[in-house]
Amino acid sequence: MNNRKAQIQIFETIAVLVVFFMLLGIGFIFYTKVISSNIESDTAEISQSKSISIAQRVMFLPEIQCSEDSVPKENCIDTLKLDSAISVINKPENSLYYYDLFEFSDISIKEIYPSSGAAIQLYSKFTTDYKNKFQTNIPVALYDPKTKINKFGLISITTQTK
Amino acid sequence: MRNKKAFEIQFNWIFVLIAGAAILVIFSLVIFKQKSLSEQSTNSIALRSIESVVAGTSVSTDVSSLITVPDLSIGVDCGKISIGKISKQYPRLVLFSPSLIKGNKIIAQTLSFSAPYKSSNLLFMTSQQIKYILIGDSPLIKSINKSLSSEINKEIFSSYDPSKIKNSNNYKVRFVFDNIGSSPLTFPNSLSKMPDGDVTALKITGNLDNGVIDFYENNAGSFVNKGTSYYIGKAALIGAIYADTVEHYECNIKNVFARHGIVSDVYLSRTTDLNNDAFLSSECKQAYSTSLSLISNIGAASRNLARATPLSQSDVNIIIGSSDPLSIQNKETQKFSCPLIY
Repeated sequence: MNNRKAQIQIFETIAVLVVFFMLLGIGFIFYTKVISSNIESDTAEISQSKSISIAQRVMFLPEIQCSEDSVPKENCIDTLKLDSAISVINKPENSLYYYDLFEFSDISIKEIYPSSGAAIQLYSKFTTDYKNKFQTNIPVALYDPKTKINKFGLISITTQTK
Repeated sequence: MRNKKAFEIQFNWIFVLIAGAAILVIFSLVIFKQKSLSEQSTNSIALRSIESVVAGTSVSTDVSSLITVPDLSIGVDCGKISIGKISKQYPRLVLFSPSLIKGNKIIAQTLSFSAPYKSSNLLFMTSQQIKYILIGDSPLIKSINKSLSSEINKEIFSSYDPSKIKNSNNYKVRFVFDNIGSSPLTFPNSLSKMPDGDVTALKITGNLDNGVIDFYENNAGSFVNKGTSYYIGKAALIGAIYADTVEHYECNIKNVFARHGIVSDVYLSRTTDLNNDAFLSSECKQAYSTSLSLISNIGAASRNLARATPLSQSDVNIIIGSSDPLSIQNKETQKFSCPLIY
């Protein structure tokens, strides 16, 4: 009789432990789900801030930015510099340098007023293995130093992040 | 029968002990793991905020800001920033700073590098807990004092008297001497207990446009020369003040010259275009054709400097020697209402 009672007690304890560990397991699964959703939202935030910093880099790139006696003009692209920058940026020996700056992105500039021209591609490197893709369009002045005429343009920056 | 009961009771206790111990071990493991994860997460967040500061401030010129960050130690190496065990590589990073930034207040400053055309923004960072002591009363020291961020913990002395230097418990102290002569610098007694490498000095021989810089470090209670380098322009000189070792300065300045070489190629191609334009006046063309060789020389010397260790004085001199004539040609183009060279 006593033997049976003791056995029941042991089974009770084991059952309590099993329930306890089951609850612990459920809690742990819930916790990891919350953490992984936080990580995903953090990753998206990091990707977005990376995309913004690439756009900032493009906007202040001395290779294309208008300047007068080394004083840069904001939101202005020197079209003569742009023509030269395209060939310099796309030189094979400079590709690694610009990859470090722009990573997987596409930067193109388009005249939209007075005439609507075709987009000129400044830099382009894409990957098929990406998680997020962001596009930023920034209106800029396109300044031709030869004719001293300003045109209205749009710089389009598409970034891919892993 | 009694023996059997005693065994049952003992077994119950042993079972409870084992189960209790297992639960305690599991919880302890979870707590330790969580603690380490939380530390890593804090460091990672801090690193990301530093990254945003670097990205945000490095695009704007001539700005200075005081940034509040978590109270952590930030290690800055050649192209690498680390906080605790978390570190990240930045291959083209131009960040002149001491090797260790401590405290929750960081000073960030930017200045543009121009030789003579602008090619990059130099980013400087330091801690408010580092003391900068400027020695001299020359226009150069006064200009450095004006150029350094007002948030910096700095003192200025017209002449060097080691007995006047007080120890105010800073984890690093940096001296800046202007044209002090070749005699070995006397180490202040008040700082003799500071660990080796925490008291550094920069001796400048030159002016605001260019010159030679000697890096010193405390070693067993005296200043030891750790290397010599060169600077072109105020921004690079300020960079040498923020960077506490010659290696860190040269690593950054090489990245600056690499970029200057690429920007020079853009200006060379642009000036060639202008020179080939049939509609521009002969005065304009004269200025452009004279400038072509100057830009080409600056580009070639910059590329050499980006590869050389240590920096070669002859290449530095080529850039200095070509910059002034190029700025004269730029003024000529302005005079004749031609498109400017830069």
